[in-house]
Amino acid sequence: MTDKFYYDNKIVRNFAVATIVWGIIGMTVGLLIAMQLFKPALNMGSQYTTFGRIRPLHTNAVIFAFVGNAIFMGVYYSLQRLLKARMFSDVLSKIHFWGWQLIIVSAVITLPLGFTSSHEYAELEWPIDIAITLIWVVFGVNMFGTIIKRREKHMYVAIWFYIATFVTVAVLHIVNSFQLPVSAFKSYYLFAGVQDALVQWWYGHNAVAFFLTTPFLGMMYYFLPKMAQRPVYSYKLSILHFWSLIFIYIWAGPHHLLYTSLPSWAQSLGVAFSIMLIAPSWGGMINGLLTLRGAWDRVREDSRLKFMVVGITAYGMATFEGPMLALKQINAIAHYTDWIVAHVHVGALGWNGFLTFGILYWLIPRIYRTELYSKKLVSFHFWIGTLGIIFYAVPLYFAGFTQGLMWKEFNADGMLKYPNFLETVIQILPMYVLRAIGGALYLAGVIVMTYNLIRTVRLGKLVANEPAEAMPLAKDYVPQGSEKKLHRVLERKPMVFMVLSLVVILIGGMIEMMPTFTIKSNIPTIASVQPYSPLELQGRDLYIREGCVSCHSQMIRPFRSETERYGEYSKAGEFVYDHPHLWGSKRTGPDLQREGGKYGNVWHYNHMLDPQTMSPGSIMPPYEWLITQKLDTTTTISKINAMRSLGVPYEEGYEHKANRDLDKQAKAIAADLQKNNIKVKSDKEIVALIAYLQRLGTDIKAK
Amino acid sequence: MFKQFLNQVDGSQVYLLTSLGIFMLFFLLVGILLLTMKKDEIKYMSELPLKDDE
Repeated sequence: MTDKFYYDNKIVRNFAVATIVWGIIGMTVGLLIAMQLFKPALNMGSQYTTFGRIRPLHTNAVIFAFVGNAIFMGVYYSLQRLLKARMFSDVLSKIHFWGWQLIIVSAVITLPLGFTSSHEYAELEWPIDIAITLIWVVFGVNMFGTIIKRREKHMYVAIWFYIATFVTVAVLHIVNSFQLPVSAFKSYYLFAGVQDALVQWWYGHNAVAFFLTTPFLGMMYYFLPKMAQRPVYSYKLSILHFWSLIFIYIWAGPHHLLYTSLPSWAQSLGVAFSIMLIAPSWGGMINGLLTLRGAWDRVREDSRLKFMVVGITAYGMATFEGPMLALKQINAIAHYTDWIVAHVHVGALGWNGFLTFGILYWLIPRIYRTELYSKKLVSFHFWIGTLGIIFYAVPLYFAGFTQGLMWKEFNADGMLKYPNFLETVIQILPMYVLRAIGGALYLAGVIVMTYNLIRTVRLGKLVANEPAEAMPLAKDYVPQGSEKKLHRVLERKPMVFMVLSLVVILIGGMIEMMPTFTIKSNIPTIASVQPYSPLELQGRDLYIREGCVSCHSQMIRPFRSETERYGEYSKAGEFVYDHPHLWGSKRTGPDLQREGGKYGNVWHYNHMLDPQTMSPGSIMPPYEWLITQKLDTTTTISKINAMRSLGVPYEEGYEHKANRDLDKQAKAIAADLQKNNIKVKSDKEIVALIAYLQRLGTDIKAK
Repeated sequence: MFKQFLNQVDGSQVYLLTSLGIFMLFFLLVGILLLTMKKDEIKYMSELPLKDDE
């Protein structure tokens, strides 16, 4: 007797709509911040629309809203069909959908308000982190519930990728969210300095792996054979690809921290595993492309397959480039430049974007029982999208090389050839203009797709519950012959499979992180490094709020070109009180690690008020509101208390004296400004920020 | 060339060698797993996505 049941297409449709809506929003914000870089007036003079605050909005919106919803769309469609079962619970599906959208809305509200933890790609503050955890668990329960009540004994490779995604993202998110709340929307990370940086990039790197890569590989293994109407090129390769990918990826995080204060053995470990990553990544790419063997004639006619082919090729390019960038010699030039921005966008626009578009064009007509409204528009979208990627990436590669080399160039006298950082920025501004054009082309393609899909939907009617039938699984299943073999058994046991995936990803993570956390000699302490004063601490939190870390690093690498420009290179021991670390990953402006004492207070005041007056041609936005807004000192006590419980040696009872010290230091700065004819009250935010900037890197400066 | 790489690594060579060991072991295990798989299983599994067409 076969079971009759219905696939839930409505939830798939909902996630598809969310994918498109958030995609347009996220990319529009991306276009805006891209234009702000060559036209600072587009910061619009408001704190809520300034680059530092909305750059995380762009990254969060495209990663977690656009790509996230696309993942759930693909998973909810393919999982039901591969397992011959409706999703475990319609209620959980709905909670998952609305919960996820609510999280995104809260990000859209809190990030412009300046509520940020400053960890890149995990900026959302602690209450939202908890909400993400809960919704992720709902997704997991719904997925495993479906797996358990399945009617197909064996789990296809796509499902392994989904399981690995679920498990690893859960681990990454939880470990990277170890925070101590200070108030409703402010927290400090448990770890400081080097350790915090290691956790952040272990997370950041593997978020790329397990949010942007593995679920899309799973989708590739399902949707590509469907579109090509032939099985995957090599199933064996997919098994090898799966296990080696999830095993190796986890180890490679430290390649984001080459030449930093991270212990060098950890850096070397990251490099070695990054090189090894080429093998499984290309295994996946080759498996995808060769699935189209004998079907290339269809690629010529079917633009959906074109999206898939270019998407998979972009994956191949990005995963070759990644290991190359992990080589120290190349990293020395590329790190902190636009090369990295180009690299991630080849992956994001090519791999994630194009695969999503290909799948949307295939899936929407199916669940609406109709044909695409216009194949010509699909083709148009493909070409304008491809052109967009090229216009985006090529200028930025050029900008990256140019600036990276300019930073390092010396003249015949052994002096920096471009001692003024701004000179190297102005040089590449035309590239920023071209990049924005590329982004605009890509976004135009998405809008054309939206129109095409709306017209398609109008042609048909949603089959909300799609009938299907399959034989139920026998209750007492007796494996025969080769079914007793190890992997065959694994394919039948989802829970064991999940635990095994967990073990595999934990090995690399633990080896990478444990020594830095447990062996003291890995972070030599420096006696002269002292905790921040209360005013500096408040100033530091303003630095975090405004997202200064988006454009300014605080990590001077041990190169002569950097020590000449910025001063003594950074030591691990300097960051022991930095909860969180603010090393940064991009230098749109100069490094600030040794900013303290470089300029007078009055310079900083004028520079924050209007950067162009102090550095003509600067692309930094003005921060006038810091001058009018009053510093909130009611939080000082809880901040000092929190820092102390994290191990910062403020003496017992200091929290009650802290605001007195804060006032004293603020008045001194205000008085100094007064001497230079600048009248500002000592209780304004700008005073705290100046205090912090003047403290930076001074602990180990020779007095 | 490899000597140069090894010399650049400070201290914990044991660490890198252990990592390499774990990696090799893992790779061998997956390799054995793959080599023992039967043709018909592979065919069955790889056709799973194509069988759900209504």
